[in-house]
This record gives sequence, C-alpha cells and structure tokens, in this order.
Amino acid sequence: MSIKSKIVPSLFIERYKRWRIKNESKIKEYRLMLYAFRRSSVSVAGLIIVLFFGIVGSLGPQFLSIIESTVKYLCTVGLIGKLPKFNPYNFSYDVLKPPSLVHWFGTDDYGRDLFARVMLGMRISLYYSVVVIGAGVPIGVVLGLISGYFTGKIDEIISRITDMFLAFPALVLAMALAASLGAGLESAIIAMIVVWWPGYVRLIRGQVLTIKENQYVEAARAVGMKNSRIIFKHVLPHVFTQLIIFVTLDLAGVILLGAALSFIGLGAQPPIPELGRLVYDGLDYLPNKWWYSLIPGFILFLMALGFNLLGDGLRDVFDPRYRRRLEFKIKKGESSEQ
Amino acid sequence: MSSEDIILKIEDLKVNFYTYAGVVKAIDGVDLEVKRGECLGLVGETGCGKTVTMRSVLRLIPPPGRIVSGKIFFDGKNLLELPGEEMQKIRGNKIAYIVQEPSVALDPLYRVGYQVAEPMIYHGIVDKLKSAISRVLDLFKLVSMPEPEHRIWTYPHELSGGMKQRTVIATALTGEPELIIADEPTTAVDVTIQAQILELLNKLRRERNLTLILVTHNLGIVAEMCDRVAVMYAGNIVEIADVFELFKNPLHPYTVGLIGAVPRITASRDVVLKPIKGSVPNLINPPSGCRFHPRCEYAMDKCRSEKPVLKEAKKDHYVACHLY
Repeated sequence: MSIKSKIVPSLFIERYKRWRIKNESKIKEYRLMLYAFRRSSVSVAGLIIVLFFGIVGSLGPQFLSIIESTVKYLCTVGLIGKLPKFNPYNFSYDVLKPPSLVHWFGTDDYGRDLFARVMLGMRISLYYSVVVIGAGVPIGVVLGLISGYFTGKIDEIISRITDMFLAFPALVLAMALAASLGAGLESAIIAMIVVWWPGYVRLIRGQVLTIKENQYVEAARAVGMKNSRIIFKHVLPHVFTQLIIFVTLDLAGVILLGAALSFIGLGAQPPIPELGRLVYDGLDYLPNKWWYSLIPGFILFLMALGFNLLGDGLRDVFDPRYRRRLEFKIKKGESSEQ
Repeated sequence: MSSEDIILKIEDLKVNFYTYAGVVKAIDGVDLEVKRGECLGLVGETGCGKTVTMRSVLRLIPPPGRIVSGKIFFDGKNLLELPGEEMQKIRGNKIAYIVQEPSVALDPLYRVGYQVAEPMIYHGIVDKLKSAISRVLDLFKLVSMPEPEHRIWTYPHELSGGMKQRTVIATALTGEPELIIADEPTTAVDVTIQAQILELLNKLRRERNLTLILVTHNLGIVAEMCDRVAVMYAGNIVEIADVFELFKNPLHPYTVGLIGAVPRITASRDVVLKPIKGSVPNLINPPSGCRFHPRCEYAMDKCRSEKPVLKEAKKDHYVACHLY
C-alpha cells in the first residue's frame, strides 16, 4: 500500500515531465502569447467587457433573478435601502422615471424597467451576432477555400458573385432584404447572414492563394493526398489566426448592424427589448428623458468597443513577428539586469 | 534490355505553359528510360525543364502548365491515362518525390513525427497513429536522424536544414516506394550535410534496391552518385550516357561546355573557367532546329533548320546532335 502510494504520484510527475519536454516549444510560445496579451491593458479591458457581456447574455433572465436575490440579501443585511423592481415586460404607472434605486436605469414610456430591458437586450444582440457569424463565416470560409485553392473557372464564378454582393453597401442590402422578408428578428438575421459571408470569401481566398504556394502543400500532393484533405489539414489551419481576429472584430460589426436594422424598425419588433429599438423609442423624449435613449446606446457602444479592443489585442497575440520582438526585448532586459 | 528491367519510360513528352506572354514549350519531346535499380542523374541549367519533366511523371504540373502529348509508363501502366484516384495511390506509395527545399516542405503547424506518419495513415498502411509513430521512429533511425525519439515531437522550425531534409526523405520512404525522384535534394544544405544526405540516399538505394532519379545541376554530385546521366537543354534531352563515358568523352557541344564550366578545387588558378556563351533561350520563341545552335561553336546550316533526334552514337551513348 505504502509503496503504491509512493509510486503513483511519481508516475504522474514522470508523465507530466515527459509532457513538458514534448511540448516545451508550445508552452513557451503560449506563455509569450499570454504575456503579449497581458502587456496591453486595453486589450485586457476588452476581454473583461466581452466576458461580462457574454455572461450576462448567456444567463439572460436568470441574470436578473440572480441580481434580484443578491440585492434582496443585501437589503436584509441593510446595505441597500430599497428593493429594485425589474419588470421588463409588465406595464406600470411609473412612466419615464429617471434612474433611481428602484429603477437603476430609469423607466420607459410604459413604465417598464429599463435596466431589465437593457440586460435582456444584450442577450438578443449577442444571440444574433453569434448566429450571423456562426452561419455566415463557414459559408464564406468554405467558398473562399474553394476559390483560392482551385483557381480557374470555379474561382472566377465565386469571386464574381462575391463581388456582386460586396458592391452594395452592407446596410442598404441588409435593409432591402429584411424589408422584403418582412420585419422581424429572423428576417434581420437572414439578411445579415447574406450580407456577411462575402467579406470572408475575399479574406480567405487571398490567404489561401499565398498559402498554397508553400511547398508543403506541394509535398502533400506528392505523397498522394486528396485535395479535400490538403485543404482542411494543411491550408485551413494556416488561416485560423486571421479568422479568429476577424470574427472577434466582426461580432461587434454584427451587433451594430443589427441594432441599426432595429433602429430603422426592420429588426426585432416592439415587445422584444432590442437595444437599437430602445434607442429609437427613446428618441422622442431625448433631451429631457435622456436615460431612455442614451443608456441602451451606451451599452451598445461598450459592447462594440469591447469586441474591437479584444480583436486588436488578439492581432498582437497572433502576430509571430511581434512575439519575436517581445522575446528579444525580454532577453535584452535580462542581460541588462545582470 | 528487356522491358521488365525498365521501371519508368517517358515517350515523346511535351509540356506547355500557357502564360499571358505566350505558350512556353517547356518540354519539347523528351524520351527517357530508367532501368530498375539504377541511379539516373538528370542535369541541366536552371529552367531547362528538369523539374517539369519529373513533375509530369507525378502529374503535378502547376496550373498554367499542361501535358500536351506523350506517354509515361511506370511498371507498364501509362500514368497519363490513369484515373485521378489511382494516381493518388501511386504518388507517395510507388513513386516518392523529394522536393527541392526541405525547409518549406514541412508544414510549420504540425510536429514532424505526425507529418511523416500522416501519409501512412492516409494510405492505410497502418491504421493507428501509435503504430504509425513507431514506424516513424524506425524511419528516423534509418535516415540517421540524431536523437530520433526526441525529434519526432519537435516542430519543423526547431530542426536544422539537414534534419529537415532527413525528415523529408523519411516521408518519401513511408510507402515503400520503388522509385524515388530527388529534385535537387542538396541545394539548400551546406557541403558537409550534402555529403551526408547523398551517402544516405546511396545507402537506401543499396539496401532497398530502389531506383533513384537525381535531378541536379551539380555535376560533382552526378559523378559521385549516378550510374547514368541524362543532360537536358531547353526542354530537350541532348545526351544520355553512362556516367564514366559521359565525363570521359562527352559528345554534345553543350555537355562539353557544361563540363568545361565546372570549377575544380585541385586545378591551378591559371586554368580559366570556360562559360558557355549566351544564355538559355526564351522558350516562347525557341530557336529553330536544334535549340542549342545559337550558342554552339560547331553550328552548321542543318542545325538551324532541322531538329536533331536522339540517336545511338556509341554503344549505350545517345546524343541528339547533327555532328554524330
């Protein structure tokens, strides 16, 4: 028994050590990546904002009840004097009340609590940004891979169709589509997917054109691999870093475009608390009842800012040249200390 | 010479590249026979079509290029008529191709052990990664990779040029090929490593009874390694002979010039190098008749009008020249 208990942990340590040796270069690189990210406080702020919105968005109504119960607890302790009222859908007589302890972000023209509505609105914004990116990016990536890898006629066809879509300003095309499909959340999402894939075809195609000139692609063909396998194993992984950066930046773009569609009235319809729609509804009361329009607008701004900062940080993290520069700097710092 | 002894036979191969500037007749009627178990050297200047000829054997000519006519027999099958899937089985399995630059022939995102194992799994030689890896280890030992157990798990950027070249050779050996085409395997490594790599190729050839086609512009390597040599000029084969025969009495004026242009370590400095005058012709408008005639000292009127064919000037010594 005693021998066994001694051997087992040492075995694990042994395995861990071997794993460390095997992955030495990987660990080093990931550490450098982490360092590159941590270095810029701006991108860390972006990450925090994105994480916050991610949590709120994924929890949705539960988030409200969690807050409610914690506040209730704080009330019984005596830290907060008044219980807040979260009524995202039910009307009340507290119409257009300014922010207070009861209604943290104030109320709207039907007496609904703006804080609750904004929190639920974030969920909708995140929902369609994820759906649009999740559906649009694979379409764009697959078409981009095909047209970049197989050049010739296929490329010509795909590229020209892409150009046709890109020729329209995104918002105008999305508006036209959403309007013709009938206003609503689903049609707005479909319209945005249609608008979103062509950019990725362009991005991926350009990348693939340079990647496939590499000799390892040639070598893979020389050992008799199928095109599909080469594309997915030896071309696609090389565009991943670019893709991650673009997706992060584009999540913000989708949120803004979706809000714009709702603002015009083509997105989510009234009872649904959509941020762009909230901004529009508050316009009538603007200078005096500023909270109605400005607070949802500010939240939208924060979301977009968060994703943009994060994407910017990721660009540094995934840039090997930047990492090498950092490594050099660290080494120089070490030698100057000695 | 019975037909069974010939592993690869190229007949009247023509490859054109359709560029915006015009049609480049990169390969213009190449005939070549490779005997089983021999080492054939394919020499010529840069851009004379050595690589394109070898790539057409694998049918891997990059897009604007196309094989216009010709036949390539490998083990009695015409490779140019095979359906794509069967061709994929031959690539890597029967014919292995060692690419020019080992440093870029490896995908930087995967560990080298995995990259060597990948074709094995893909071709169904082994079904599990684990058993594939143990075979990779054997291959690494075969190609004398230093510290093979450790190197399997490294990424390409952690290896030296010589080690990368060994990895590429190991990849070429995964499918137990009968024919290896080494396309300038030593241009990217320095001379000492070059000697090691060549020694390795020689060892493999002896041990596994492989046929090796060595594409190079380095005549020293050819003299060291090959049994027979084919000399290419501007898309044509101008001379094929036994290696000793070729260096002792080269027949084609181009071969003579090529041998005369090689610097020698032992020669005194008074011996002046004799470059071949002029430069490689533009293959969009190749010279009429013999493609070498504008640079040839012995050019006759016949050379300008009539294209010489490869004929046997001496026993087993073929030359395409009107002089013989």
